[in-house]
Amino acid sequence: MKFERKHAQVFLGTLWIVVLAAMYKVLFGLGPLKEELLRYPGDPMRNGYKIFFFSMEAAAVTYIAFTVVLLGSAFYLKTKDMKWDRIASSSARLGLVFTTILLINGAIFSNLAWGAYWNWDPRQTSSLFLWFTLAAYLTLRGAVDGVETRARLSAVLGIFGFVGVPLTHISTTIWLSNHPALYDTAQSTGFSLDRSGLILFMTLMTSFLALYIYLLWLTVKIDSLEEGSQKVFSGEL
Amino acid sequence: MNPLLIYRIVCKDLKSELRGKETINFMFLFSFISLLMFNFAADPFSPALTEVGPGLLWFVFIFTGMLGLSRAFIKEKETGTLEGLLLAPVSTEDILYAKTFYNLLLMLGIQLIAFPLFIVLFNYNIAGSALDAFIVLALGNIAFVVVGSFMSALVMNAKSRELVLQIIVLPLLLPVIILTIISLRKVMIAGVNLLSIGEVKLIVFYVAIMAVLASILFEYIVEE
Repeated sequence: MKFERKHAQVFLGTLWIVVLAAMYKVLFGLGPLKEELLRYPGDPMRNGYKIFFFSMEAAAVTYIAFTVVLLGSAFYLKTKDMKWDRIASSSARLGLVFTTILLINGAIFSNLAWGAYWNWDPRQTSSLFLWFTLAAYLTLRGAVDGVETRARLSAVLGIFGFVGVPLTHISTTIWLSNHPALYDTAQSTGFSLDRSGLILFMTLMTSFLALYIYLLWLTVKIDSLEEGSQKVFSGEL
Repeated sequence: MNPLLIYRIVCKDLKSELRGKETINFMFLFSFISLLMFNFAADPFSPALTEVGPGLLWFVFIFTGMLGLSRAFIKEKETGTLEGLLLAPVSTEDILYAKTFYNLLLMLGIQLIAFPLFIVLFNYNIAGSALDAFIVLALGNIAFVVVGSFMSALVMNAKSRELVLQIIVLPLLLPVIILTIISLRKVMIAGVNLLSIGEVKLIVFYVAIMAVLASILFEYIVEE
C-alpha cells in the first residue's frame, strides 16, 4: 500500500488528537511535585516541573534530527545519491525548528529552576551552538549554486559540525567548572515519574518522533518534486 | 604526504605574499588597531582590564585570523590558479597541509608582533612566564588555522564567501576558543605552569580530531 495524501491526513489528525490529549493531561491531570522534593515552600518548580514533558521531547528529536543530518551527509558522500542530500537538508531544517522549541522551553525551565532565563548551563549552551551549527549549515546551502556542489559541500559541513557538538559540550562544562557557581545546577532536577507520568511521557515522546518522521517525509517529498519540476523547466526531461 | 612538495607550495605562497604584501600588512594593521580599541573596553588603569586582558588578546587573533585566513583558498580561486594547483602532481591533502602551514606562519608572524604590543599597550604584568602564554596562544592559533583553512576551502565556491566563512567557523571553534581563554587566564592571571594545565591537552586533542577529519574530507571539497 502506498502512503498517500489521504493517509497522511488521517495520520496527522490522529497525531494531533493524541498530542492535545496528552498535553491536557500533563497540564491539568498531573498533580504538583511532592512536598519532599521541593527546595523551599512556594518553589516555582512545584508545578513548573511539567515543562520537562515538552523540553525533553524537543531535545530527543533535536538529537535524532542531528544524527540524521550526519548519516545523510555520510551516505551522500559515499553514494552520491541526491536522495540522501534531501534527507540531510530536510532534517537540518526540522532540527532548527525543534532546537528553537528546545531553547525556548529550556529558558523557561532555567528561569523556574535557577532564577534566570539564560544560565550558561552546559546543556543550554551546547543546544545554542547546535542551533548555530544547523543555521550555518543552512546558510552554506543558501550560498552555493549548483545542486551537486551544494550537496557535496553541505555534506562535508554536516559531518564536521556533528563532531563539534560533543566537544562543545565538554568545553562548556569545563568552562563552568572554572567559574564560581551562580546557581546550584545539580539541585532541582531530581524527580522521578510515577506510572501515569511515565505513560504520558512516552506518549508525548512517540508523537513528537512521529511528527518529526512525518515532516521529514513531507519535506523530502516536496524537495524531490521541486527538483523534478526544475528539471522539466530546464528541459532536461 | 610529501614534505618537500608541501614546502614548495608554502614557499610559493610566501613569495607571492611578500611581493604584494596585501594580506600581511592588512592583518598586522588590523590586529594593531583592534588592540588599541580594546584598550577602551575599560579604564586603562583599572584591574578590570587585567581580568579581561587574556580574553581580549585571544579575540584579536580570532578576528585578525578570520579576516586574513579566508584569503588562502579564495585568492587561488579568484586568480584562477586553483586548477593549476590541483593539476600539479601533488596529492590533494598536501595542498590542504601546505595552506594550513602557510596560514600558521602568517598567524605566528602576527603573534610575534601583536603579543609584545599587547603587553605594552595594556601595561600587562603576566603572572606566569611570557613564553608559556605565547605557546598557549600559538596552540590556539594552530587549532584555529586547522579549522579555518579547511573551512575557507569549503566556502570558496559559495556566494559572499567571506561572510559565510565567519558564520560557519565560529560555532565550530567555540571549544577551542573557550579552552584557550581558560589556559591563557591560568597562565597570565594565576601564573600556573603550562605543563600542569589540563585544558592544553584538550586543545591538542581537538586539533588532532579536526586535522584527521579535515584531511579525510578535503578530497570531497575539491573533487570536480
